[in-house]
Amino acid sequence: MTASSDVEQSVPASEEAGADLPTEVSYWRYALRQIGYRLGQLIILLIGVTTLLFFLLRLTGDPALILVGDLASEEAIAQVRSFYGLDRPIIVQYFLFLGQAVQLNFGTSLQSFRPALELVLEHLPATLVLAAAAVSINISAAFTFGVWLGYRPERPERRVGLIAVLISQGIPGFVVGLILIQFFAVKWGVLPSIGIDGPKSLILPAITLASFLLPRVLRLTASNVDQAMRRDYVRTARASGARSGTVLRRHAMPNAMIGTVALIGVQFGFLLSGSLITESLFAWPGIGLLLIEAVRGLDYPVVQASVAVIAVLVFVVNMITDLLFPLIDPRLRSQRA
Amino acid sequence: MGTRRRTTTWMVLLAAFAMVVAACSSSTDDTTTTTVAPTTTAAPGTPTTTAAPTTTAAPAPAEPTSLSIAMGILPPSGVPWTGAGSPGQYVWSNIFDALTYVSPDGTVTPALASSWTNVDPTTWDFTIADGREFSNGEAIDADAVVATFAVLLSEDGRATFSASVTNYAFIDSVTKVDDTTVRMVTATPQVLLPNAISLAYIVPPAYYAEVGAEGFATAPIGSGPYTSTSFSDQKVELVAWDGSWRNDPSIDTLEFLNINDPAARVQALQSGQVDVAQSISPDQLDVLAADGFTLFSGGRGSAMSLALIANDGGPLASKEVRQALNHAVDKQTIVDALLAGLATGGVWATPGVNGFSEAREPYPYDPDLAKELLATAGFADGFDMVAEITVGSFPADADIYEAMKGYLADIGVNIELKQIDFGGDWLPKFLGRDGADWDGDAFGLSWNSAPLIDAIRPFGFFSCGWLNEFFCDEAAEALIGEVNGAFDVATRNALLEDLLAVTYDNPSALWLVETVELWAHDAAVQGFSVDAFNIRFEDVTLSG
Repeated sequence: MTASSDVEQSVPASEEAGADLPTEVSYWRYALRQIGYRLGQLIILLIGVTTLLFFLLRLTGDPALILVGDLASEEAIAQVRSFYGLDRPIIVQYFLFLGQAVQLNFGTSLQSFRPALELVLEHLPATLVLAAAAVSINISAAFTFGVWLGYRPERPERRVGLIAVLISQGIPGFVVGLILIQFFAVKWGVLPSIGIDGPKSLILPAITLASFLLPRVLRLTASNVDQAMRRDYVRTARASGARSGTVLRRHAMPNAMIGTVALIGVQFGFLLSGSLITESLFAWPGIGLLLIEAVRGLDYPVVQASVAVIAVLVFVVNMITDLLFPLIDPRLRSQRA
Repeated sequence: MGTRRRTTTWMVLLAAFAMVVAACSSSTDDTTTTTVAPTTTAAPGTPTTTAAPTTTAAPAPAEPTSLSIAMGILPPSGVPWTGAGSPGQYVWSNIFDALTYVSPDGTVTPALASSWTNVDPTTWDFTIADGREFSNGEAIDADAVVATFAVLLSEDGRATFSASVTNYAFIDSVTKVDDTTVRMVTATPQVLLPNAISLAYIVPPAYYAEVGAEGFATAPIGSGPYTSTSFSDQKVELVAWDGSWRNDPSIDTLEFLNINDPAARVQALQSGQVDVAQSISPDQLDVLAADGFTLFSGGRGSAMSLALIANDGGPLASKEVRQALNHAVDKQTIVDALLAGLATGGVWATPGVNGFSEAREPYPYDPDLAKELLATAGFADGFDMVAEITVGSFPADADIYEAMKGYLADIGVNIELKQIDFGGDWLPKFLGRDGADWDGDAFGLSWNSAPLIDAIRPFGFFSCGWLNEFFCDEAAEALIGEVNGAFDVATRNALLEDLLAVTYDNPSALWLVETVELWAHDAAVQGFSVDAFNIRFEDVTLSG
């Protein structure tokens, strides 16, 4: 990003509202083209992920042995393998699986006898709630604390804040969770720490999950705000008599936030991997907890359905993030138009 | 104007996130409520499977009592034949009954069957107790028993419910003699048939036929003192049903919660969000004891050992060497230090198992004797060996193996512990599947003896005919055959005693500790005990 382009973006762009009109139209064309292109990618991704998973799972052990147990007779093992089709050549098993998967049929859970995808979709809302809350916390913290840290970072209290953020980046998310439970549930008894039981039960898991990404988001936001405040367009705005708050809110923050949105979007997959730990810690009935138990029990259908749903979720969030950029940054809109 | 529009865009984005949260919150609430089974309970005597949701006919207590139990994992479904131990039995044993029940002293007692007779070595007649019914009103009679076994012993049933059926797969047929008598015929003489079927929970035939395994998974119905109102992999809710033939429960509602993380389970207990916690990590016991919680160990007939591969020659082929290894490890110190003294150490059979004897003490810890035995066997300078183990299945198992390694090093036996995966490595090697075989000289071997609760349980492994044979003692082998063929209880127990004595003299394993599951509960909970994976909640009360 050059200084001149910044100036173009921050000040004159607002004066060229009329010039945006054809760009608005082309944005939706661009968005539709992007969605179509991305859907093609999604199909390739899903085939890749499910194929890799199919063969990796088969390396972890024979589910027939797990199901039968240590008293298994040869006959019993053969019966189980035959019943679940595990006695067929692996390549035949794979194509059968693929044929069913394209019809959104991942089979029936070996443990609970329920359709695997139905089971996963039943757990999806809980994970979405948790992830959405964690993303909201990250964005809110970036808008407030991150901006505060980056605006005049030379001040002593903000230096201390930045050091604290740096240190907190080294604390694993599950430790944050355990500490939160210890104080808010065990010592003070003000917040629940297990399961879903009203809005209060979302607070601790959401903060814990947010903490997986929060230090990075805060550092990036602070750094971007600091850099933005040094740009020529900010100086120009100041020289034209704009108040500090106005300069920060109208010129520095919108530019600084592009990176923050990009980080959160790109790291959504990482956030979901954090949900595995968070859900386990707070008995949160989401996909993460389901996946852990399915892996433990070698419940192939549920593992495959969970991973497919997670892959779609991450993909969709990344696509939305990509589509948001041109809305936030008019330069991208005009470039892509 | 452009910047104002961008600010507006940001506000819209934030608002959208807030709406997503709000929308998802409400949808989650909906999900929670819809997990409640629609009509799983019925007034006693109601002849249909979709009866009124009333659960008790007796006057409601002034203040309903409830108990929350934090579990490390919940049973995957309400179908009660998908496991033989933890966690399924803890829940299922309160909803269902089998024909028999193995009581805490290891003897088989009547449950839905009032009595049974052994017509000949392969034929048994079971008499169903009069006047009992399922919580949906269906009668418990010979038809119900025959229908249940028809599901279990069908080709599909043997595959789908193999974890349970494998214990009684030798049953050839189950037929109705009259309304209260069923006949079971086994392929071979099976003296422990009544023990083996103590996990074959009987289900209401009409209801099961109507909903199938998929429907039964979330809305199970049985004849126990509790009925299910919600059954998911995250939470199981049971309410007391006073129509059961068992004791009337004093606690109205049970809530089993899936709290996967051990530290979170302890914190849930400390914060009062649950009353009982399962699978406590041994390093948390002191803290909980200091906080006034009651600690106890559950499980019966479970043991942890290091199986010694004697068939491949080398030092372990020597009986003296195997005795030396048993004398070299101070099992009681391991139990005291790592399991807070809540287990027994170093002997099979363990307390509560048929065949256990107080007189048969563990090998005394005597490193000098161990060295002497090694010298006698020609290994005065010790030797190196490799053991393949799995960890993470039992409390402190990794630490127990490390302690064992330290003790063995003291007598010159240097053991390399190789951790392997249970499903991918251990099980195929143990069962000798597709040519899989052990890479070391020993391997970790743990078992629970449910549903037999009998000392004979591990002798299948330690026998000359095991799928991947690693130990063979002809004297023991003959006794195993005699024990399995003896139908007279006294004769059989005497033979079992002889077998255990032979095994003590010629050990097939380094017996480590009784594997227990560590539990903790609030001091207000009274009468809580775990017995071979059964928790009889009808005997639990709350004080204060």
